[in-house]
Order: sequence, then C-alpha cells, then structure tokens
Amino acid sequence: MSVFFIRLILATLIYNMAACSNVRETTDDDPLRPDAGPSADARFPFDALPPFDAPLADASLDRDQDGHAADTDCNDEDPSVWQNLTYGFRDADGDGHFVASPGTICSGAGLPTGYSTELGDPDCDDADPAAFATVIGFVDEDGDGFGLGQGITFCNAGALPVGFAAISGDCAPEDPARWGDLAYSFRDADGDGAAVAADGVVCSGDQLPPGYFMSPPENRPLDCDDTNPAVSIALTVFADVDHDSFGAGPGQLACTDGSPPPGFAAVDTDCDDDDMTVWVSLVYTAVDRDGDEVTAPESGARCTAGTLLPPYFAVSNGNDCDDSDPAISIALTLFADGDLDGFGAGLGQLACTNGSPPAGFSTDGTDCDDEDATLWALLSYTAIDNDGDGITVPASGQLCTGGTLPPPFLAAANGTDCDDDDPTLTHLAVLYLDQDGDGVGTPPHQVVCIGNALPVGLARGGYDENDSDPAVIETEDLDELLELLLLD
Amino acid sequence: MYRLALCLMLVASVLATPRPSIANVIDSYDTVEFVEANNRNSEISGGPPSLTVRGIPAGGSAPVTKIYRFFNSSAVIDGVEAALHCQRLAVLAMSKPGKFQFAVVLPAQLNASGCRLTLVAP
Repeated sequence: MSVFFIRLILATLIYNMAACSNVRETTDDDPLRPDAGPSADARFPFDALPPFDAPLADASLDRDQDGHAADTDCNDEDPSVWQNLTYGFRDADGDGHFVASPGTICSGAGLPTGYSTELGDPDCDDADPAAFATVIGFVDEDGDGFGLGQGITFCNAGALPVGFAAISGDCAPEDPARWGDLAYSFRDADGDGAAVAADGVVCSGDQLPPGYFMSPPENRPLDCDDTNPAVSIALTVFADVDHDSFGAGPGQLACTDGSPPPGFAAVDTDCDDDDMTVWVSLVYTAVDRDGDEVTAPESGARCTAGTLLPPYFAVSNGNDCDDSDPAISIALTLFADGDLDGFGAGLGQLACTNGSPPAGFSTDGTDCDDEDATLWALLSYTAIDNDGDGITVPASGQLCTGGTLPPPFLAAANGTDCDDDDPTLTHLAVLYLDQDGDGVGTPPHQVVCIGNALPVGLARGGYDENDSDPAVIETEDLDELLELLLLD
Repeated sequence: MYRLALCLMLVASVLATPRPSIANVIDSYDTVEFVEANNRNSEISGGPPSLTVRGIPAGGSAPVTKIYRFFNSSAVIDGVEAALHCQRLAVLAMSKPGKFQFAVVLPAQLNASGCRLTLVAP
C-alpha cells in the first residue's frame, strides 16, 4: 500500500513537471477551442513510468538504450528522444501554419513535427486545422463583390464567407449592378438620346449607367434642354403667323424635337406672313395684262405659292406695245398710204398693231407718188431708147414707176445709138467713098451714122488702089511690102 | 497676095496659140492712124514696153490716142515681143483702111496684152 502511494506521488510529480516544461498550443480559455484539453504530449506518460518493482532512476543508466544516459536524456524511456530543443513556433493543429509559441520539447536529433524555429505560414487558429488564414471582409448585401461598412476579420481557409466581399466602398450596396464610381463627361438626364456636357462621377458597374457618357451620342447634337425628353434640338425659328410653314421676321432660338413648334417655321422667307396661300417671292421680268400671250417688259417681285401666275412671267414673250389691248401687240413704223397701193410715204410713225398695218397705212414708206396707185417705186435709169431700135443713148435719172421702168427708160445701156430718133440708124461707122462701086473705097474716111445697111457709095474698106476701076482693088507691090514688114 | 494671106494667118496663129479662146477686148479700132512701139525707150526708163495707138474706136466718131503697156507675164508671153506683134498688126490695119478691125485684147488667163485683127471688109 505504501509502495502504491509512493508511485502515485512520483507520477503526480512527473506529470506536473511535464506540464510545466512542455509547450501548450492552446489554453483552456481559448474561445475557439472551448473543449480543448491537454495535448497528447502534455498528458501523463504512463508508459514511461518504471515498473513498480524497478529501482529508481539512476543517472548512469540508459534505459532506453538511445546512447544518452538517463541523467542527460530528457526521456530515457524513449529512445527516439534524448535532448530538449527550443522552438519558437508551433503548429498544433497540423495545418501547416504556425503560431508564435516558444518552448522546449524533448526531441531527437531535431524538433518533432509541429514545432519550428521559423514562423512559416502564420496560423490565425492553431486549434483548427481548417482555419489558418486571416481575411477581412465587408458586408456585401447585393453580392456584387463590393462590400460596405466596417471590415470584419475572419480566420478560415482563406475564403470570405458568403455575403462578404474583400473590397469595400460599394456605392450602391443594394444594387448588384453598380458598385464603383465612374467619371462621365456628358449626361442625358431626360433620356431623349441627346446629351449635354456635364462632368462628374456616378455609381456604376462595369460601364457607365444609361444616361451617362464619356462622349456625346453619335449623330445627335447636344441636348438643348436635358430636362425635357420631348425636345433636344436647337433651331432658329421664325414666327409663322399664317401657318404656311414659312415664317418671317427675326429669328429666335428654340429647343425643339427637330421641327419648329406650332406657330413657327424653320425658314424666314415668307413674303406675306398674313396669307397662307403665298410664301415665296419670285422675280418677274414681263407681264401680260391683256392676256394676248404677248408680254410687255416689266420687272419686280411677286409673293407666290412657288409659281408665278399670270399676268406675271419670268421670261418674256415678245414685246407687247399695248398691254391693255389684247387685239394689238406689235409695234410697227407706219407710213400714210394715200393712194392705197400698199406703199406709203412721208414721215413714219410708230403704231401698235396686230402685225398688219391698218387701212391707209403701210410699213413701206417708199411710195414715190402717193397720189397715184399705179406708181410707187422710184427706179433709176442709165440709158434711154427713144426710137425703140434697141440701141440706147446714155442718160441717167430716177423715175417713179409701177415697179418697172417704162420705155424708153432702161436700167442698163445697150450700145450707143448715134441717132436715137431714127430706128434705122443705130451706130457710127468709119466708111470710105467708093466711087467705082467695087465695095472698097479710098481715104479719107468719114464717120457716118448707119443702120444695118451701108449707104450707097460708101464702103467699109478704104484700100482701093484704083477707085476708078472696079476690077482693081489691091496691088502685089503693097502686099510684098507688108510681107516684108510682118516677117521682119 | 497669097503669100500675104499666109503670112497673116501665121502671125495670127502665133499670137493666138498661147492665148485662151476667149479674150477680153480692151479696145477696138475701126481705123488706125498712128502706131508706135516704144519698147527701147521703155527699157531706158525702166518701165514696161508700150504701144501707142491713135485711131477711131469702133462705134466712135472721132479718133483717140491710147497707150498700152505690155508686161512680162510669163516665159511664154514676152512684153517686148507682144508689143512688136501688136505694132505689126496695127501697121497692117493702117495699110488696109477698113479691111480689118484692130483690137487690143487681154487674154482671159494671162495677165498680158495682145492684139487681134478681124477681117471686116472682103
């Protein structure tokens, strides 16, 4: 009985020594390990106790035969350990992550597993092998990966629990589509597709939300009123009183839907804004007031519906000399025709006609005798033939005629009549007295006015060498002389 | 007589050969009273040869005097030769008063004067 108590006391002593010398990974008051008890290494090593009948330890003994005497062997019952080694870090839960926990442990050649002199990967909970990493999360109600509020520290395997995000600053904690601020330069607040220049930031997702742009929408001018979705286009409009879509007066800037508002027009060309039937001013250069389709020169501008209406025309047609009378339109210079032969005389006078001269007038003012209907043309003559033999004598003058020169007046001469009072005599001839009647006379010559026949006793030739002998005309001597002359 | 006629035909043919058939009559004379070819004097003065004719123009009543100048219009028509031919024809007309009508003509295609005799009386 006493031996038993001695062994009990010895075991208690050893237990307490072990509890004091070995490092504990956790404490009983560790909130993460409320049920943690002493570690296996810290528990009483009943197996190491000497048998009841064995003598007490002897310093010279090496009971575990590890080569280290009992007095130096920190555990002479275990041949795998024999020396106390110091450690700074402990991985009690075996998750490969360590906590700072310096101590000494009876070891072999090196520190046993779970002990280290180096920190390695830190462990936020060395009592739970599933928890070793410290992460900070923020409450992410909308699950968009961005949280908000005070960060919460978690010790686990490295992942945030559901409902937390690693990034804080969610600008829309209840909208999973938006989480961060993005800058914008243009804004379409009224949603009409047209924007205004406006710098700022807006809570967004990956992209700017609708209505915010970095550049203005293409093919759209800037919104002239971003508070009204019905209008966005600035127009210069003009008052259109008559509602014909053409305005007038000074322009004013209006924010529109692309069309001028009622009572306004985009153009200011209405030439009469009180009359909706006309709106464009057209220039005319001619008028036809009498409706005879012949215009008179007149220029100006008319307010129209796009087309000039009669009597106004852009292009002239003729030149109406009297645009108040449709029966007449053509101006003629007329001459009084007293004898009604179609040819007038006197001073010309301008008259407006239908194209033909009125009775008693003519467009020809050349009547040389306006009192005789048979005479109207003044013709010039250069010869006369008083005897009617067809041969004329020179004469010149003008004669009022009925279109042709009457005899004996002729426009062109025909020969020169040597006796215009005798039709049997027409021309002068050089003749010679022919005394022997052989047809050849002798000089001197005489110039005689003759007709077709030669007068008796006269001949054209004057070379009769013997005018008393009709048998002799020429002699050989003269011929030979002429031959010599010609062949010289 | 026959030789004279042959000679006249020869002269007429020589003058007529280079001419076209139609010639423009410059002047016709029923009588020729005076004729002179002034080719030598013209050479001295540097002018073209000339022919002075005095006679009664056809249809006229009094004699007139005219001077005709003959230019070298080509290698065929020589002004001096043409003036001499005209002179000879004028002499012939003058020797047989009333037998021929003497005419100074201008060939239609040649810018040169020539002369022509037309038989008037047998």
